[in-house]
Amino acid sequence: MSSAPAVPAPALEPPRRGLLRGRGGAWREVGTQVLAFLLSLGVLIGILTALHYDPAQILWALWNGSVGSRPSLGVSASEATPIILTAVAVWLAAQTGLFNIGADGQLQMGGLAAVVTTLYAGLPSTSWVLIPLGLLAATVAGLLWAGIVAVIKVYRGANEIISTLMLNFVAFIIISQLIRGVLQDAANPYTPQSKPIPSGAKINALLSGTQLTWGIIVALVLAFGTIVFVKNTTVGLRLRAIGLNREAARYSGIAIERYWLSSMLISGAICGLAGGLVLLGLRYYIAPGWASPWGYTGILIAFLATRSPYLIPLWGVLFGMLGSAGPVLKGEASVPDSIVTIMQTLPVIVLFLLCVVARRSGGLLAAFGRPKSSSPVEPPAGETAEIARPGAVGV
Amino acid sequence: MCSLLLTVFFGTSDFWNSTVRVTCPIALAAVACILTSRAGVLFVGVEGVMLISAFFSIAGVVWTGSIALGVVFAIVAGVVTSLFFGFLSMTLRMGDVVGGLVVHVLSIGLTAFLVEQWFSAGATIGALSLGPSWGSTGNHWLDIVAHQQPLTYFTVIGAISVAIFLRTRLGLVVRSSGESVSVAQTLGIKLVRLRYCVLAAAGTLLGLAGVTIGLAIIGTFDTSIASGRGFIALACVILGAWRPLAVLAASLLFGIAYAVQFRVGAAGQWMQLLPYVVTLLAIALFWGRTQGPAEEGLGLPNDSK
Repeated sequence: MSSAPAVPAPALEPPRRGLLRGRGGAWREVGTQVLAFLLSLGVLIGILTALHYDPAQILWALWNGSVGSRPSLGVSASEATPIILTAVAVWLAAQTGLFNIGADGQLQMGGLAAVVTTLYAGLPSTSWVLIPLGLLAATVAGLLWAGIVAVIKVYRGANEIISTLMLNFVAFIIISQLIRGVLQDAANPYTPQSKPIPSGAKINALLSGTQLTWGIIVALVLAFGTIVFVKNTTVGLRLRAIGLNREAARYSGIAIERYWLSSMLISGAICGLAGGLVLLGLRYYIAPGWASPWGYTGILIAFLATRSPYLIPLWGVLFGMLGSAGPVLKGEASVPDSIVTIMQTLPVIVLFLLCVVARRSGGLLAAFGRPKSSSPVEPPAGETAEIARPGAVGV
Repeated sequence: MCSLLLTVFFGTSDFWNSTVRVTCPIALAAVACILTSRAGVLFVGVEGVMLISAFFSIAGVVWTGSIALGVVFAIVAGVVTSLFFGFLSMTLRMGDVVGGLVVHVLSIGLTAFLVEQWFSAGATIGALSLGPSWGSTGNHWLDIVAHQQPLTYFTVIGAISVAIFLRTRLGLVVRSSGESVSVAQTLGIKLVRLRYCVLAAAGTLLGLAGVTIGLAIIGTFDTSIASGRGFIALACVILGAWRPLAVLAASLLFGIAYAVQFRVGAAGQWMQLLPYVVTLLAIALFWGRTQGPAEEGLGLPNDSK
């Protein structure tokens, strides 16, 4: 580790107080991020129009598939649940300077554990124990899966980016192989999927005719709870200190390894729980590749919202709506549903682009009547770089 | 089980042939990663760049019917995507990890979209035609080194050239960018420009890596064909201690893991885990034994040019 920092110290900021930090900063942050989302949506529709898709049809499908109908409302909420949870889990680990790129694998293992326990625990198929048992198993599975990475990181110091990525592939293969083997649904031998979970393990819908469950409430409570905890407690401050400057944290007596271990384990547990909630509330069975988009979406959101974590739920809901609209887009406007994957990366690019543009031309913001000194889009790059620094290779 | 493996696989020339074939893309990507890593860039987008190149190599062959044009398409795609990664991580200040993940996710979405848009029946080339144009030597064992597709030899030459390059004056400039940004800037090196150049060179190599996956190993496009090879290449660089020839040897290890997995077939699908488990073990066991560039992945100060 060199003594000369490659990244300059972040600019001094006004003190932050809870949700609203000084002088309407939070609302400006919300404004910038919503602007980034709308711009990227505009770019996407522009591109699709240029490719001779009908923009009116696309907009209609987006509306209809996300909130425009009762069932889609439920699917949006169910899709948002794992996204919010994985995003907050990745954000939590990032506070200590760790990149939990393995959210996807931890979520998949959580889902697997939920299926296996509810199917093979030997309980009657309507027992009330099934749901708590499945969710508990999912949480533990996610925790253990992240534990592998945490142990390698803490005891060997190895880069967690590569190990978490490898474990994503491992989780995918384990699930595919189990479904080809012992888990294969005998009633459906030609489709690679597991048996559906027993009826008692399915989380009931809050609204009839939808798949809206209390999962989304759990996700929101857990997300806000985690963020408030990290932002407002001593333990949270220690976590952030490790991410901001590891050496300083060590000198001030923080047991870095212990916090790394616990933040990674909790991060994994949250991802595992996300897998369990999806499985018991939305999918009901497991199949190869059943979970691919959520983990990576969560990671992208965690980085979108590094500076303003309270926006994680908002992004989660927006991306959940997009995820729910994907199949409708394909069905009604015959746009390939992979467009949703592209759409998930666009806001990140647009947001960082906005920041760079704003910095290069401070006048852009002055035009909105804001004093230049308290630029609303103080770049998140400074903060991302701070987080990027300790997690980097060779440290 | 072990002795069975030994006799069935390691004793046959076929096994080693396929090992060399599957090592090639990993080795090419690993050589590209040495370059970027020595320049201080942690190239997390490597997997995405390979996927896009593999797609355009197949698309090029399907459109034009010419292997050479497929290779050109892939190289252009590789360079453009690598520069895009540089744009995200340096110009937009996302940092190497976030920029890399954006490239990774975008590459999956974009290739899936383009396949549906342009090749609704699937993107497949007729036969794997990137083979050697010269005849076999007649001896199976000699063929392992003498009768491979041309990019195999290019990989070895590339690794040697990178080893030599890093010892030249310009190579030292590149290394200074990875070892100490502040020193390099004091020397008046334009780091952003330098890193863009290195990324373009790496993009060329990754384009060729995409060609070997697309045209020499798989032949049908699918968003999962890169199957972690880019990330495994990053692990190879660590395992080979950032030295090109040692990295080649490390990638051979992962090549063996892939070849065993291909060979076992339906009987041992669990063997698919092998390359990933080997990677995990490798970084868990060898991390810290070797020292990489001091400031890899740390980004540049805000006012860099």
